[in-house]
Amino acid sequence: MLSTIAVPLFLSFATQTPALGDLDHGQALLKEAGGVVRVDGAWINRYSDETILKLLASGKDGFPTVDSDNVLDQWDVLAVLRAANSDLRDLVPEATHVYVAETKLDDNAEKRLTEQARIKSDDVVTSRRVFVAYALDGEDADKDRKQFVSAKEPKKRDKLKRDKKVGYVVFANLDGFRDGKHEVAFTTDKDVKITRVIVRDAQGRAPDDLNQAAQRFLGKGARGKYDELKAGGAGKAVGELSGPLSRAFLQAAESVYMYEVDERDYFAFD
Amino acid sequence: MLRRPRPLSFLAALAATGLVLTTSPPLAAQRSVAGVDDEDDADADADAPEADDKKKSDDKKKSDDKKKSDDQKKSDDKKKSDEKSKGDEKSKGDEKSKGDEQSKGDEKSKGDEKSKGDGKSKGRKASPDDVLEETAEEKKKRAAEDDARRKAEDAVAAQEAKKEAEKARLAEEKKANAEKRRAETRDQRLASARRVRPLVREEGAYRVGVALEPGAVQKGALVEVRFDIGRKLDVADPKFGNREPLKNLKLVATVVEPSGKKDGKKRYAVHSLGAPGLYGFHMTPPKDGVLQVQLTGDVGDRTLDVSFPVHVGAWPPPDFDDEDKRAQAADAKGG
Repeated sequence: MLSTIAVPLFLSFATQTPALGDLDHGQALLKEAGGVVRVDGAWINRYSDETILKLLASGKDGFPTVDSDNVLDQWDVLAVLRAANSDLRDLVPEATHVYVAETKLDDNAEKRLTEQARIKSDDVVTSRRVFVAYALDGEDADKDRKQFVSAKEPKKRDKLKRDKKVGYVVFANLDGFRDGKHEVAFTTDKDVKITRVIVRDAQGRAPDDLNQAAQRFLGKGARGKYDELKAGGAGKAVGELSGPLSRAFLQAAESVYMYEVDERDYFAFD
Repeated sequence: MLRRPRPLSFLAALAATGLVLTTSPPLAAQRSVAGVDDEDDADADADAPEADDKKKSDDKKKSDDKKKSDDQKKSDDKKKSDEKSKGDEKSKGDEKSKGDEQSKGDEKSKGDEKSKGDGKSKGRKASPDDVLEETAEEKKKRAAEDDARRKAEDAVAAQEAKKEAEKARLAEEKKANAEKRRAETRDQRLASARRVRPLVREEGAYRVGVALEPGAVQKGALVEVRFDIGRKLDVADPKFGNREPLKNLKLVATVVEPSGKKDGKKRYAVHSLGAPGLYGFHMTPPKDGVLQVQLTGDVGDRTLDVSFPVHVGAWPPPDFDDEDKRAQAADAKGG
């Protein structure tokens, strides 16, 4: 089952990014290590490749332990894990730095989602990870090796000014779509308009039909708007996807607003 | 009648005996002036035939003496005139020499100035060679020395040429032995290459050593491709030697399958293996045939772009000997 994951994905949406390793060998090693493929973009995109290699050696933070002295074996396992998830390299290729923001909806945000977006309160996800992308200049700015910054690194965060921001990346579940286990990754610009979108199923595959339908939502969305997103064109997939994808987007956007509140506070004295 | 002997006849007799060889010219001169000689001679002629002989000898002697005195006088006069002329000449010469010296001094100073400009060689040329001319013996000796020296030099040159020839012969022999040994050990090298197959690619100053593990590539089986990337240095570095490993490169390997289909092209990120200049990636060839692997990446001043074939399911690979020779040539160049 795992062997069918990667190839369609890479050919469809991530052809610009070279494979990190050999998927066949990586799957064999992952199986040997007792690990499973986890489709969770917010989880795996939290770390850089180098950090994940260390975590694979130690087996921490939900990563399997790959017992090998050959670093290429670990890269193969990482390739399998990355292949099952949407990658920041594809979602924000222009970014050099990524601030990983842990957001929590406040009461007003929840109220907006339930009242204006008409999302059931049980479906509202209050805690969400938002990836804020920045494009900085300088020697340490490398698009291929993005630097990750957390709230615990104020010196690094100080450099991430608003004018250097290129957008946001948020991962959300497509609640109410088919089996309810699909994940969507949104990239928005600073004004919260969708610039990229990738839909994956529970096995980490990115079906072509769904993703072609999802591309119709590019350019949709706006700050403070809670209406359902209306994609152009017709088709079964578009009709099927429109409601769940709109609700996922509104929740993601609400998390972005929470980050912006935090950002305003942080840079209040600039 | 007893005649009183004449003093001159007596002197002549004495002269004939050799006791008195000459008479003083002034005395003879006095006699000739007084006119006594003629009378005495006549008397003497009449007296005895011996006296005639004596007279003849005396006359001869007189004429000789006279001649001598004349000659002497002439020579004295000449001497005097010579001395005089010399004195004149000297005085003239002094004056002239002063002028000459002055002019010579001027000329000399001019000449010195000129010779300074011309160089020393002109001054040396001025010295007469005939003073230093060698004698025949010296010439002979010098020729012998030159000959000996030439012979010694020829001998040294011949020895060096012999050494060179010997060196070249040894090198040829060594090469031939190496070839022979290589031919003998081909099986061993094949066995070694079955485990890890080395390849070498060079692009300008950059050398890329490739290692395929396993060397005998099979479809569906993992292959580890390792690269040892370095830049050849003109001046050897104390740390790296004549090849500097290239660190922190961003490399991508593109593997093209023989099918030629769109899906037959895969791109792999090439990762650092920890050691400087060492990189690698894993791949699993899906089917038999010849894969073409292209390695690209920026190496500072230029883009590195090398490619090599990977024969899947073919052992020994058809390019084994060619690649072996290429690797040998690269090693011989000191890459």
